[in-house]
Amino acid sequence: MREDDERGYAQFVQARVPALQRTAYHLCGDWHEAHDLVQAALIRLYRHWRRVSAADSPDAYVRRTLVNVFLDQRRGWWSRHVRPLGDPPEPSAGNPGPDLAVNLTVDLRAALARLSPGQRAVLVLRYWEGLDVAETAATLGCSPGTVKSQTSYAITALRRLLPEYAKETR
Amino acid sequence: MNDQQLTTLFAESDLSGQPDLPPDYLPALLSRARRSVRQRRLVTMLAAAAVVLIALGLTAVVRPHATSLPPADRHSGTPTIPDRIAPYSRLTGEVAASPPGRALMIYEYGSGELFNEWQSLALSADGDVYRQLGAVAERRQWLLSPDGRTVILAEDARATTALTLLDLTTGKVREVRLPEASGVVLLAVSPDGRQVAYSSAPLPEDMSAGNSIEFQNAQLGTLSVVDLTTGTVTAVPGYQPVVAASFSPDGRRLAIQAKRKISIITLGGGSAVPVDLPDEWGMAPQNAWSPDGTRLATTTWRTDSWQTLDGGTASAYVVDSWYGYGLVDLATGTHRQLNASTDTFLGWRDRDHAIVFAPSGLDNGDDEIAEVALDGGARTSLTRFDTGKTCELGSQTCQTLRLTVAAGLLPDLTTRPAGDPDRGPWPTWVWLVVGVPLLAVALVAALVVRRLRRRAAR
Repeated sequence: MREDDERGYAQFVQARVPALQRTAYHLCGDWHEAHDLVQAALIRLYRHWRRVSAADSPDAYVRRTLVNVFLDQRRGWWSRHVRPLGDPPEPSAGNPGPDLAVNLTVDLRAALARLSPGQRAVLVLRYWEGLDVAETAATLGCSPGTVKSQTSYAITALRRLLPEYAKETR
Repeated sequence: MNDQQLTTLFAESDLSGQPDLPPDYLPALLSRARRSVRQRRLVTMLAAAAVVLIALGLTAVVRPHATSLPPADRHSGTPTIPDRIAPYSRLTGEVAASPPGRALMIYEYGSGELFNEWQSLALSADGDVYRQLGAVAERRQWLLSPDGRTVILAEDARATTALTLLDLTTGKVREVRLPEASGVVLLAVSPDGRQVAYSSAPLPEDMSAGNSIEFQNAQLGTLSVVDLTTGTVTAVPGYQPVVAASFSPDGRRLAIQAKRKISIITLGGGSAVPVDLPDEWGMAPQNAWSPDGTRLATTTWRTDSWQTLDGGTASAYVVDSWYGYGLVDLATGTHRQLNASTDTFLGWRDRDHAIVFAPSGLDNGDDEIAEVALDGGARTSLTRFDTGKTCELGSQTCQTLRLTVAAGLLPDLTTRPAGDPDRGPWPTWVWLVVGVPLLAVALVAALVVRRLRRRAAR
């Protein structure tokens, strides 16, 4: 890569890494894994930087790459057979207690961990990254209909997994 | 739970545990990214090299003519024989896939102690080129034309309706129809390769006995000569059972043996001239007539007689060449036994020298093809067969059977040091048994490499 191209790449990385890591964290639920996912996505971006920076939005490319790396990793044998983290806690059956916000945060992470990787990716792209259905479909490489149905399934699952939150905000 | 609520849920989620970026994050990332690019380039280059190598290999194996001389160009020089015959190999290709060009000899090679591992092979007269004759020669008897270009085949265990001709220079097969389906025994081919003498007899009722067509013809066979270029078949009546024949050097006369009597007839008509031989002696098969036309090679024959069901007696006349060979001078009628050992007469080198095959008889595979001086018996070894245990998974020494030479190439034949055998493309079954699993292994290896690369990229 030419020196000026690499400089542009470095500036992009410095500006975007914290946000990318947060997105990755929502996808995988672990900061160390989020670090690895972002690094893998950025290395791929480096290989295609000239083309991506000239013709496309680097943000869209790296977001798409990040989600693909995450989904590829979750499809792998190791990920399907080995759980690095313990099972998330069961949703609380009683009152959420006084510190509702903290409990809901923990519960959201636990609930997301119980969704399929694809459904998790749909929710993160739509409600964390703020993409619309078409943009989410383009990022995931699927049809808008699939995004809609996966979103619907994911929300239904979240209602079941977060009954207190659903009741609180009803 | 609506879109707004979900957005709020994500926005309010606790991200306080996000670690700070290490100070060397960017340099380390750049270093890894550059390494990834280099590795990718290397992998791409290696993959391209592998593809090129595989393509070249496939081209060389599947289409050997693309990388070696075409068969037609292989026969410009003096015919040669390597001083060692190559060992048995299951990887020897077939004539149809890669013709060897003119052959010095064809032979059956292998072993049958535990498994039947026999190959019908052709050895080129112009190099260390070995090929299997292939399915066309299975359960068939054969002759080799004097120029080594054509194998003439007839059925060995059922009725023959047509002679099959395998062109060793092109790998192509053609048929010459016979007037009727019958049990056929091939006897001799003319020096120009155009005519084939054969005996025919009705197919035996009981085909279960071994060699039944040969045995039936040894009792009842009548002589015919077929012109391979026109397909014309000429019956030669008056001789029965005809058990051996040999063309004269000019191809106009035919020495035939009916029972134990030898006669020389002129093709197309004319009186027959008898040739007297001592008891127990008859013509050597196929190539008996010497190149100068003055001698006939002889060998020992035996008569098998038995009682028939109707109380009569039947006899069959079969070669018993285990007891050596001799020659008869056609001008004087003098017969000489030349060799009392186990030599089998193959053909004439010149008027005074014979080419013989000498099986070792010791089960060590050290069979030999030699030139023998008819006066004095001086012996020169031309080649030896493999002595190693290369048959039946390395447990047996290979044996040589049905060795047939191109008689017209013997006068100029020279021995040379054996080179690396050219066995041509692998037979189809090898591709299926070895190639398919190899492809599967390559596929699995590619998937593993891909997975490792992805893991390394993270």
